[in-house]
Amino acid sequence: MKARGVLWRLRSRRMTAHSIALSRERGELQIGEGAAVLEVAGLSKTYGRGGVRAVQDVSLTVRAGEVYGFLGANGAGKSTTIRMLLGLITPTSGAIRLFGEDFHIGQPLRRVGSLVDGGAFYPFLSGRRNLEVLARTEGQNDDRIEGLLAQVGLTRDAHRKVKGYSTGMRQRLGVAAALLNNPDLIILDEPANGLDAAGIQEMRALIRGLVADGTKSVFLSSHLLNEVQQLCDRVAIIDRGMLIREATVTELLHEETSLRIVATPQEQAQTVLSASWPCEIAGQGLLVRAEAKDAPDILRRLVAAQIEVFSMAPTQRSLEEVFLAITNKEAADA
Amino acid sequence: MRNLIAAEKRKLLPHKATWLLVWVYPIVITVALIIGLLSKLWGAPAPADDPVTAAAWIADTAFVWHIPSMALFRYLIGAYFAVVFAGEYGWNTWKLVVPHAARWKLLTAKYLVATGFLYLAWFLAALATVLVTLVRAGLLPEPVPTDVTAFGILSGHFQILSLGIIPVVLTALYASLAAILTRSTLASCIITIVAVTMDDLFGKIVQALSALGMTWLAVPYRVLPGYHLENVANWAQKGAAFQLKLMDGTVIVYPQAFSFAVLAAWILGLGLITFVSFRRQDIN
Repeated sequence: MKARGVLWRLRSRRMTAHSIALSRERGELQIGEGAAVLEVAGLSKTYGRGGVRAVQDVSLTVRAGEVYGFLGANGAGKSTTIRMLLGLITPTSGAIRLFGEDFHIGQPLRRVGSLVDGGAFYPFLSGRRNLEVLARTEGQNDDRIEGLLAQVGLTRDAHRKVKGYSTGMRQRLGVAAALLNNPDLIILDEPANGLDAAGIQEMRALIRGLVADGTKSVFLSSHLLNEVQQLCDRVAIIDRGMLIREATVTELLHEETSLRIVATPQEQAQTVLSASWPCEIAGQGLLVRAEAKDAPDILRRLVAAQIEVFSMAPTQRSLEEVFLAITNKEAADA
Repeated sequence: MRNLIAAEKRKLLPHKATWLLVWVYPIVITVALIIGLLSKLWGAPAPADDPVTAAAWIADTAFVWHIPSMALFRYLIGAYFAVVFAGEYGWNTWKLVVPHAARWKLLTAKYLVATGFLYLAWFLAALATVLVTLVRAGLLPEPVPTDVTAFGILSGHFQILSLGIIPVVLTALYASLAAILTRSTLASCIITIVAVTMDDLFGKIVQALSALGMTWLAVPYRVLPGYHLENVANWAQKGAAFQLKLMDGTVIVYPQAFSFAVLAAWILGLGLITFVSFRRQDIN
């Protein structure tokens, strides 16, 4: 067992480039915003000999007090990455640091709470009993259980067996379980799954409330991009096992802005502008991939070509559109 | 570890399997003994039994402790351990607990609690047997031999109890290893049944097939736990080695210490494989 641990550490040391990059980033982070609570460098997982590479070389950093979104399509490697972070899956290579200390597989996570697989619980036990079992496993007493049940709105159903719970109730119990040890980092895998609109809203408020005082951080994976856009400070996008982007939500949304222009004749306007900017006809307008600072130049060219311009306005794409654009581009490049 | 044991207790106590495969012993045995007593009380008067010796009286009250050595009950013990270990895969709950405790501790807590429950159940069943037998002695012409003492009962029971410890540990290891490797309660039960049956019947198979010249089967028989379980029990009960005579005249016989060593090797080996397998396992 020990030999395996040593081997894993040796493999980790091979990730020199990543480690250096991470160290540099670490230095910046500690000077700038919140300290890094979770640092991942070159994390990879391959199943079988020469088999499927589920996760390849993922490096990311989660800072104190932020909600970090981990986005990816189904099968992109989100859950595998999360399971490696929780010590459920042994990485093939790579390193994980939690609160500035190396994390090794098999080490209990004292300051981390988690929700995976929509709240996996003992179906023959009540919701309260499940939390009691988990509290004992974590070496805690039952003091926080009633408060948490109230916080997630399950006090009335806490005596019922979990097998009778709806998906949303399990999910809420899962959040209570994740908060049981009063963690500094909460890892949530698809926390909004199975929740109705009101439930999603409550979950959003709960998560934002957790990080409100800046001491806790949330790392969440989701495919509900609208939720992520509203909830997360920074996001990472994973596609086919590889991390293809890590940025703040604001950076991503403003990265590829467009100008929507209503002009006549539309085709002629497209011809004039397409020499300098990518543009396409979208409905009754022309969508020009250009930044707001290009607007005067665009307007001048259209007027010079005797095209009547009725309106010109910047458009902001949703996170969903940005996500699709990034992942589609990666697919095309591959 | 105390916390993990408390967690495991809270988890397993209300589970159906604990009632069906553990608490069933004291319940069924007590009910059967009471029915036996009532039928004697209200049935036709039977001639008084011959007086028994203290040793025989104690051995009668200690029949419960033979349960762990009997193949049929080892199947049930294996089934319980299969539920305890493979259940976590079925319920998908390893993900809930593994991040918060060392894996070896989680397994150890399971072994301790499941074994503790079983021995508690057998203890209660043995206690009920002694109590009902004492009540019978007061109500029926079945007097307790005068030289029966509390210490005699305790030591007599412990002697038989000790015979069952190795079979219980082996059964637990068969079931838990099968559970970790297959992640399925049903598969673990089947594998445990096969392993226990091998322990119980392989000697007879080897003996029978030796008549057909298949004496090579004696080689695995010498290293598998079956012979050595029987040998240890024989030494404890009869003070002599268990001998298996093959048709070609070969006699398989080993000293007690050798059988203990082989069984210890099996227990350590299976335990090590179980812990290492679980330590390295990806919980998807």
